[in-house]
Amino acid sequence: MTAPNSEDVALDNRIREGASDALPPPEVERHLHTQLAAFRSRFEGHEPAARPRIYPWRRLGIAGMAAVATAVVGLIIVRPRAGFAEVADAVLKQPWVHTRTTLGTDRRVWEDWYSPTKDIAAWRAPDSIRYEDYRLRVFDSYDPAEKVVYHGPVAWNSRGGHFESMAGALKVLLQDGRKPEHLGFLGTGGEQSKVIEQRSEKVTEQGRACVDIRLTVKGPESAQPMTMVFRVDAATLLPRSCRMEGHHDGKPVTRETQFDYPEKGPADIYDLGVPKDSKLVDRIPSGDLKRILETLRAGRERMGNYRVVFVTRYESFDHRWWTEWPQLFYRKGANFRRDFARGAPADLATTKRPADGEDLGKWWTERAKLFRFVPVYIQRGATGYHCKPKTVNDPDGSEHQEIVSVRKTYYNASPGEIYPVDWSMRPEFACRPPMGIGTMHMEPTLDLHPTEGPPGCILLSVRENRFWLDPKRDYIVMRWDTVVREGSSLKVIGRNETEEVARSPQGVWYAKRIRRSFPDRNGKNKPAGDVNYIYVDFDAELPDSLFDVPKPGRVY
Amino acid sequence: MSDESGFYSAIIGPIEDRMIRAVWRITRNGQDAEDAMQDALLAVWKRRDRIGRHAAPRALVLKMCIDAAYDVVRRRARRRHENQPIDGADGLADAAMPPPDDIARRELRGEVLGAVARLSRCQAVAITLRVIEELPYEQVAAAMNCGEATARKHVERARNHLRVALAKHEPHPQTRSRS
Repeated sequence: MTAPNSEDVALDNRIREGASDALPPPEVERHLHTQLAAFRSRFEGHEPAARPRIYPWRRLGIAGMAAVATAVVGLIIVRPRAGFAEVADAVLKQPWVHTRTTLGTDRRVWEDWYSPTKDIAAWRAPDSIRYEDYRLRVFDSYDPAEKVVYHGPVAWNSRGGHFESMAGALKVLLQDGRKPEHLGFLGTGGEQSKVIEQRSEKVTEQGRACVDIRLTVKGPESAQPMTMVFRVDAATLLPRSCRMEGHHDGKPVTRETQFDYPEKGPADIYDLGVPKDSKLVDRIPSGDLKRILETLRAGRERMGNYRVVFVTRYESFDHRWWTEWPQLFYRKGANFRRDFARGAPADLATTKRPADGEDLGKWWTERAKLFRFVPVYIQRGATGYHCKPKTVNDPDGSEHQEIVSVRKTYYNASPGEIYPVDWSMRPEFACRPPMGIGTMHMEPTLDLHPTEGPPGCILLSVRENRFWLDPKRDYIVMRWDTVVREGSSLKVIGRNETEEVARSPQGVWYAKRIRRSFPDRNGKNKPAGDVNYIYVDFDAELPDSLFDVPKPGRVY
Repeated sequence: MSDESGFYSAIIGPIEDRMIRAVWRITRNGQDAEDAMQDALLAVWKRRDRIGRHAAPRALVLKMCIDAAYDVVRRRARRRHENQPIDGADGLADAAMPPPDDIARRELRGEVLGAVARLSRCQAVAITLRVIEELPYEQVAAAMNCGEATARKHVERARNHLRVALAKHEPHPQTRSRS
């Protein structure tokens, strides 16, 4: 055994220094603690139902209707133009589309039903059965392990969106007749997918003439291409089967889907095999809770247009907060934008602290003018664009900023239920956070006379979260605790407090200052936290071009 | 059930925060951290009997977290290429990520973690357990199911690689742009 030499010690210190700030952001930490709390519950014998993990390949299995769209796209590529619209019509006019999908080496089976005319979707998977009625905007979901049917509100868009996007794609393709350069209408990841090879052949199946369309598609997240073979009935123009071969997590995966078109589909979840004597749990908000949620939603929607200068002050160490890099947030209607500062003033380190009593909103607004900003996120309606910025060195030694890539994300939530990804830093959303109400295992309870919390507030508890709502301020959240079970008691692991509020010109209450604290963040009973300052300007000029779809290229 | 409850409070409870830090240190992304933690907890659940009998159970659990995090990161790295979002700009992580207050430190962090991620699995796990988690070699060896001399060899080789990797990319504290 040898003692470490000084080189090793220096290297080790550098490694430790590089890895020292290993605490995740507060929201991530909350999620990880929640995972651990659920895991502890498993040991203690009261295991909550785990959040299902949806893998892309399984998602494909569940969302079997996407395959219908894909099959039609396959036809678009190889058949005369006049036939393509017929195919789309043929699928969309069916009373029910039923798919049976087998996946993996163990041949697990998923069954999907979708009625384009009734706008109803249902599926039966090995670990769940679900029925969604988009006209009534309700779902029923059965967990075989619990033997409980949950009845709740649908807060996302219809699966008919697959068909609508397919129709949109058809229109574009029919107009110019080109080979599709991407398959964005296939859903997540499809936007960057590319058809790298295509061919077709006539085949006969059970005496019926069919066309096999073979596509080789390269996805954005896979090093290896995926092969899809679609078989379409030549007479009815309806897809009959789809076989996909590819890799997931480095392993080969095969997925086969068989299509049929029954006259009748399931009338309710019990038609899918759920025992009729199963316990029913109603998660549809009603009464006071419904009124509160509607008020919160109205506040999110009615907030006016704004530009925000956002700054964080850290509390767990001596922090020269006036040298912090501000961020900018914009909103115009349903469009949002977030900018990072990427170029700082030369005197950043020697900046003088603002005088006591100085208007910090004005100070930071002026201060922000000295920075150069680059957009990192733009949301237009239900579509978000994540930008990846990069500093590029020029030959003359100067630097400029570029967006090197843009990642598009579509949020399949209903209007009014869409939260920008940076919601916790925005004035109207930070005090109206997502609460998870309506989902299967998030049981809400309302306490109109809580024994603790901000004065005058009511307490809404949703699983690990406790929200104190202020009835005099349209129920905005004045305090939000996240707790975990510790023996028979509950331990607070995170707390957000809305310390300062104001009203917008439209009369909407919003947060100006939020304190986030973590009583035992590092496991040594040492509290940590920060304070977010949100300086809102409702009179800022907001040209529409601010929210243009970002493109890779030079910013400044 | 009481035995299992005791398992958690004796082995997992005291290192909850270390598990979180171990996973986050490697993944640096909210979704990846959650995936890694879920994978790690699943592995712990399946092997809880073995862990309970292990010579260094907490070290073993930490190793499982590190393994799971490296698995997720390497899986993602293979897929994402240029499509990876900016650090923390994904979902909730994005919403919560404070702006870095020290650019040089952030660069050093990126270099160190990037260099560790490029090591072989054994070297990466060994250097993480030994240097970052500061476990004695005896526990590192037990967690890695190898001899103490082998654990030392992994750490030594990792140091040699890191010395070269970090020397090539000295940080520039004067840099004023975030990259």
